[in-house]
Amino acid sequence: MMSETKPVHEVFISRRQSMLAALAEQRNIMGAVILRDLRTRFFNHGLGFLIVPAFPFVHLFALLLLHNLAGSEYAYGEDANVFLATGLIPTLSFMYVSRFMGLSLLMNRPMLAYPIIGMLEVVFARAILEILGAVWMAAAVISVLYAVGSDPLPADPVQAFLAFCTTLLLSVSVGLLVALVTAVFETFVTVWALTLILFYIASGSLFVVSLLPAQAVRILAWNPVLHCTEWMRTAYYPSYPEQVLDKGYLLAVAFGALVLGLAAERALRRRILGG
Amino acid sequence: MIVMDRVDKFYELEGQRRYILRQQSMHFEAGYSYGLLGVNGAGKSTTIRLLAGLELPDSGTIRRDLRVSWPLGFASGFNYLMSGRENLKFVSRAYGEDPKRVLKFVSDFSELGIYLNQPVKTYSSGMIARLAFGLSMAIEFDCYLIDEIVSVGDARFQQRCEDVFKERRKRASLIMVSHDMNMISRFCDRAMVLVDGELLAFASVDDAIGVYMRLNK
Repeated sequence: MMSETKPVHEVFISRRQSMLAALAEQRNIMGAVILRDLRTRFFNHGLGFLIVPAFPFVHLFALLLLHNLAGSEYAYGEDANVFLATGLIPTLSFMYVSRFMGLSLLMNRPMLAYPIIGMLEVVFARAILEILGAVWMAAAVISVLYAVGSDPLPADPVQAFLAFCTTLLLSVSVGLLVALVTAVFETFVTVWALTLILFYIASGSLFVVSLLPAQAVRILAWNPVLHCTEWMRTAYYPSYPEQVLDKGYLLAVAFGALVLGLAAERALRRRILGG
Repeated sequence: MIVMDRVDKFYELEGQRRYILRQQSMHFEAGYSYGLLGVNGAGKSTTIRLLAGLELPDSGTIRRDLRVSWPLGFASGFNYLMSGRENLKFVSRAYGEDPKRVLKFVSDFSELGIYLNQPVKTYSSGMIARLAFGLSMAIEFDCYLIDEIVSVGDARFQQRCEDVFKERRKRASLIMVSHDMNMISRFCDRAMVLVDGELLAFASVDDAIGVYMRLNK
């Protein structure tokens, strides 16, 4: 008996249709999860999402205000506010994105009662919202600095954009790991919040790291967030000392954490779903 | 079709493994409805959750080539701070359904009226069950998983549930867990008994019910 085989173009069309159907399904799921997360985040109202960029924005301007009131000297460049903002935008983006992504599975566990929704959808939906929040925060900071007479635009916009994107990649990768560990050990939320203080202090947001003793620089250089701030500053100041900046290390940590996070999702999936 | 291939599922209790399924393989063919019987604690609900994909086996695989529901009547996916309407919209969007159609179906079916606009936390347990059941029926699946659906609402509502069940069964399969043998007889074409980690399939539903009754004595 002859077996019936489909012509190659039919097989191709069928595969393409199934891929399109899969993409459409993924779009539906992500859309639904994003809308629900947006709706339930703060005050049980969609507008509560405005709090997301407001947290780092207020945080950053409180620090700028304190520095202005204390009359601190310029660490670099001609404008202390711009210098601090170039460090604080990447650092606070990392802190808030990774922290709130870390809570995503814990807060949205009921969504996993629907088989169509997986853990990665829940975490990445939160990541999209957090990235939007970070972009709004950065745009708001630049607008306010511009309004008060500073020059908040970078000398090299492409490098500033790349520095910000890499910071967000690092934040999402680390946030994924934090979300998975938190889903297993709830107390890790507190551990991570305390660990972020170390990342913050060692980020170089408030000082020029190259001016520190070599031994301190060697230790601080392990902090990937430091490289985010250094990258951003080289984009703002053409003559900024670059010897500490290691883009390769930063990208390796960001992609490494992403791979580790995806592997952890596979490894912990049974345990997290099993409750 | 749902294919269960050499599936192990166990829980660690006081350092010992307690098997729910031990190296079990089973084909659930499309177009047939199955009853899953077993004494309390045998692992029927866990098996249903495995078939839904809400839990994963410790070894082996479960493949689904059709659209499988969540365990029917399941209310744990609701966000209790959101209204019934918002919860319905969320699930409709996730499953690619028209939220307006789902909302109308559930509104007519559950008769929750203006309560649909209230947060789910204000609902009674009966209202939550009606919302969950209505939602489960509003979305078309190829296979419905039913875990011990208890009687919801008054006699009229129960009759309506049964009518929807019968109508759905014409074009979808059911995999049903129940201690109500009358229900198993009426809705299932095939049945199996879960005992000591083994799924025993029987030629007829009556045979499976007979074994279950003996185990239950």
